[in-house]
Amino acid sequence: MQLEHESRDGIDVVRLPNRLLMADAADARTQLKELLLHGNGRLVLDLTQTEFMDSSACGALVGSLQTARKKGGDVYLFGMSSNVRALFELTRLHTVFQIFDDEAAALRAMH
Amino acid sequence: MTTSATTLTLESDLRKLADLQCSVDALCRDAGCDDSGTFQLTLVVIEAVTNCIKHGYRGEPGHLITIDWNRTDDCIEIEIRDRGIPLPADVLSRTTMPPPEAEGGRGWPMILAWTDSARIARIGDENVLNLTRRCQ
Repeated sequence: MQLEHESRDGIDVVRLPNRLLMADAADARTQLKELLLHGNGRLVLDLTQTEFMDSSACGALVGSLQTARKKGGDVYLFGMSSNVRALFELTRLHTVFQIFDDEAAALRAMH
Repeated sequence: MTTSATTLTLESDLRKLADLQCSVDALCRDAGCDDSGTFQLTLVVIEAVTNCIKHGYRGEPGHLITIDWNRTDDCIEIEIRDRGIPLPADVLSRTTMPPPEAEGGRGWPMILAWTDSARIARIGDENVLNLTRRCQ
């Protein structure tokens, strides 16, 4: 699995896939970590296409957040479906990530 | 009274989980679950089967996992069976979600949060996990 990535004014924007399960979560974790370590630690994740994710995907996102914050950066999320938001609320991940409705709001906040 | 029953079998391969997700999603919708219920119950099954593969079979392919699905008048009953390492006795007490900063440990709390009952048993050489979710 190759995550789609682009850079916007020094901020890395990565689109997560439609489905993120354990078979791909480790790969996603590695790619996000590499991106953070080689970039400036500022990452925006696009979840507009992500309809389903499991606990291993949650772990991969938390891992990327820790990597970013160690580097003085952060990870913001946008485009979350109501189902994924319910998962974030159940797991309380919504308390550690900043979550925005759309990309423009996430990029504005990160600048 | 059981109104609809289906059995799914799956090889112990994490790459098969995507197909399982599609199958369970379709079963949920056929059973009348709304979008939210479909997502939650599908995730419950994915988490439980992932656990069978990762912990029960230690990620080793070539083993079978069986999922019996029953839609009754007022609930959905799911029985998941594998012949892997027995489940730890404490899994059903893992109701507390780990801190949000933790990278793991969310699987069982998710399963228990989004089902109405859960039972485990070791019957012969099989692990048997019974999950029930009431329908709205």
